Amino acid sequence: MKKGTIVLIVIAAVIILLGARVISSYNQLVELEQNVEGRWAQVENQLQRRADLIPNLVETVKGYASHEQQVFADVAEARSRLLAARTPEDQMEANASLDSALGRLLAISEAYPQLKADTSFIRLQDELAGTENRIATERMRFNESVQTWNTTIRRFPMNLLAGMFGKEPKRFFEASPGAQEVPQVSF
Amino acid sequence: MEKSRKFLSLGVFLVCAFILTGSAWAAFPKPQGFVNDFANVLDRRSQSELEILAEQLKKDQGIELAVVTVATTEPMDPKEYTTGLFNDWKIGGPEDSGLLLLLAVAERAIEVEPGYGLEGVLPDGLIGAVIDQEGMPHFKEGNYGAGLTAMAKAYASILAGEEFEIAEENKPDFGWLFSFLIFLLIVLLLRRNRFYPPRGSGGIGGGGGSGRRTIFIPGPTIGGPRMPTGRPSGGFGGFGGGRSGGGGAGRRF
Repeated sequence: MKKGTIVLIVIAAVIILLGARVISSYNQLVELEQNVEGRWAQVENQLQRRADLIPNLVETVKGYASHEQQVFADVAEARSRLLAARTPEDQMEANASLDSALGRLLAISEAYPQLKADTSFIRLQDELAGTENRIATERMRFNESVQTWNTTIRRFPMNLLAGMFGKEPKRFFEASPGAQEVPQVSF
Repeated sequence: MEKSRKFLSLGVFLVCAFILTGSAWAAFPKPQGFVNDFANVLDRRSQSELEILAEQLKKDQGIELAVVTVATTEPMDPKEYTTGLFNDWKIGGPEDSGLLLLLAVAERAIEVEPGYGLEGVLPDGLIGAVIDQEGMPHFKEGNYGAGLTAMAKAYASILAGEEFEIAEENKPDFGWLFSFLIFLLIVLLLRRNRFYPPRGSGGIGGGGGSGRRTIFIPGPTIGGPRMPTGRPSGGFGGFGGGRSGGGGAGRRF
């Protein structure tokens, strides 16, 4: 009888210890996932900020180079695609096409010296360059949080728990080629 | 056989570890104060002027201004380095109210980055305009100290709530012409009247100059004698824990 009680107590203790371990691990997972989501919200903020700058920029360029209709249409289309995108994957893709359309928009400004000297254009370009740097910074911080997440859920024994709750590795936000080249204002 | 395989994997591990830590080796220097002339390009006067300005900003508004010159930002590009340094030093108080002016000599780059808390008062366009108007003319002549001081003064006055006038590049500026004409008119009038007031007591004059504003910076109003070097006494206690998100503007000169 006494022996049986001891065995029961030991089993109960082991179960409680394991349970506590599982709960704390689970909470850690929740925290990490929240972190990734919070970081992504920051990226979204900056993407939104850039989208907000674009109409002004396009208007200014139009004042000097009204016949470059194709580029304006491309930029507008990419922008509305970005604003319509809901999932991070869609947003990343729409952002890549906005990057290339914007690159072309800024490239045509090279052909118009008067546009390049326009004070409000210079200010807008500064805002755009600053926002692109902000996107790069937030992207880096987001990717770091994804890295932590992905490493954590692949490690033993966390991978068992992650599998149980259906936690999957998350995708990095890759910089699209050419987006690294921040438009420089030079004289 | 077994042993050599073990050695091989150990070797691979060590190589990987070495490569991985390599990128983290690009450590930033430690801050020595608000003004950090690592490249040794600032003259004494600019340095002390900048230090006084930074201390004033810190005292009046709790804003931390850091001015840094480096010989090079290799292997990073200047912007990356600026954002990295800002967040490594944690410039700015709890409201992320920091401002970093970084000049890289080899890259011929000037980068200005605001903390999160100053992004509203100092939008990137304004930051860029101050660089163009206050900094670039000096930097192009190699007067790094004068350029950084002029920029710091302009940012300080903006942060104090003053308006910064952006010079319109397309419109020719007739301000000086106007002043000159008035001056001529007065001289002619005085000549005609053959009346010269003693010691020029007229209130007009000094209205010349271009459209540039002279910015008023309240001098150090401390009662005691001013330390010529302006070093904060008792060593530098570090910055207040501010963060930045990579905004701001930069130029190559």
